[in-house]
Amino acid sequence: MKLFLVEVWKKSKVTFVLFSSIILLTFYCTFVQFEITPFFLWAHYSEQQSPQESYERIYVRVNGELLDLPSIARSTREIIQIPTEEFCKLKESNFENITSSMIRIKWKGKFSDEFVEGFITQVTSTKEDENKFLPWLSRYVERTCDVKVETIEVGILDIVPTYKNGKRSAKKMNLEPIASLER
Amino acid sequence: MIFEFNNKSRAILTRVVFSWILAVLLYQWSAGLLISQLESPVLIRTDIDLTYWLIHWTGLVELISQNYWGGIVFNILLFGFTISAIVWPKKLVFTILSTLTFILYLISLNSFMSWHYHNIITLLFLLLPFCTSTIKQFSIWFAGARYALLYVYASAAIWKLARGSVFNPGQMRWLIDHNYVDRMAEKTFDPSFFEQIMISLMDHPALMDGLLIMGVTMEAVFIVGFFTRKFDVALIVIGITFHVFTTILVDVSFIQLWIIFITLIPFQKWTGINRFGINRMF
Repeated sequence: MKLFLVEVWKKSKVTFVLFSSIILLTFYCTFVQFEITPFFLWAHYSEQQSPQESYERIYVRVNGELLDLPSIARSTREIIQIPTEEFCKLKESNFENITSSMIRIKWKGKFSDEFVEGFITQVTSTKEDENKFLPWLSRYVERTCDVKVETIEVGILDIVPTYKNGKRSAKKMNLEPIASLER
Repeated sequence: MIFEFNNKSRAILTRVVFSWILAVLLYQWSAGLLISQLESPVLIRTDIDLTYWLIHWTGLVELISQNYWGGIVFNILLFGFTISAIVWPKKLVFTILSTLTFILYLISLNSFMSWHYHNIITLLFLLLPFCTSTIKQFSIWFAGARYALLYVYASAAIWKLARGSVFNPGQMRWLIDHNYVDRMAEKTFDPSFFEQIMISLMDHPALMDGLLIMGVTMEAVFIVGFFTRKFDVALIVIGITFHVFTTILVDVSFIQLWIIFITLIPFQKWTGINRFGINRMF
């Protein structure tokens, strides 16, 4: 690495400065555990796991039937599952999130309230999005799951792993609706 | 030593890399993940990522996502610039525009997905060399992309060591439990051959932990690449093997990123004149 940077220095001083800046920012972001694209943290699966009796998950009920999310291709499923998880969290916090809180704290007094609130609307979800989410989810489910959505409900549930007669399984319990829509 | 490419070899690499980008885009299209296919998504999650803030602040994401024709025109540009970079690899303007539209696409998708996924956006490290104007700069940045790749794997291993997860008894079993529990809860779940193996392996936690230590070791060996290029081909094999295992074990393939292993190919071995007196490719 050292030799590489020496070689870069000999070939191009500007590129050397750019590379050094990228390296320093990468180390800085890693050290403070703060991710700014393209200074990524490669910490996937590094958190210590512990045994869990149950796992909290979201569910999507379409026309009275729970959507079989694992049967949908992973990349498509994630566009349904992860925003729904985000929606449930936002509903719980009344649409307050880390982005809007941080902007309000850091920028208060430095910029006009109008600018700050306008910026927040551009970079994060706000309360105004609450009633638009289920109509969007219905449209996306119709498009990808080939089903006409008449009613849709999202919520959270617990999945409890079971082990009986040497056979592993799991069951869904404690369904808690968060929002629903009839079209 | 930084390997010096020439115009011919740069053009070949441009075609290979942007063909891969085109294949990734075609897959995204088939999976219904182009911005115009997302049905005007509502939620945005940018976290505290200033790059995401900047791009959203320009209004471009809203323009391409909340307007049907905006989305269609963006798709045409995204595919058009990528195909143009393949057809005219020496025209710098197309590689730059293809890279910019690709990054805009990925940042928009990740924001709407509410998850800043690294599986495709990391290709940025590989695309940057193709946005440089001279062969000298291209060669330096391409060599730099190799170090970025080494850092990705080495850093992933260091995180697992630093947090102690690699030696946490039962870690791998619980990770798999976490990943498989959703499938097992479905009444229609009919495990495939690999899924059956995985479920059986959960009864052998010591073996699972051994697999985790092996996986982290595979990531950690990329540190060797910082000191020598002798083992670069072995690192390609190790990297791909690692991802085959992660696909089976935790359903994470990162296949879109595999092209980045191109930076580990020992191009210097393919230079000059071969024994038949013919100019070699690079």
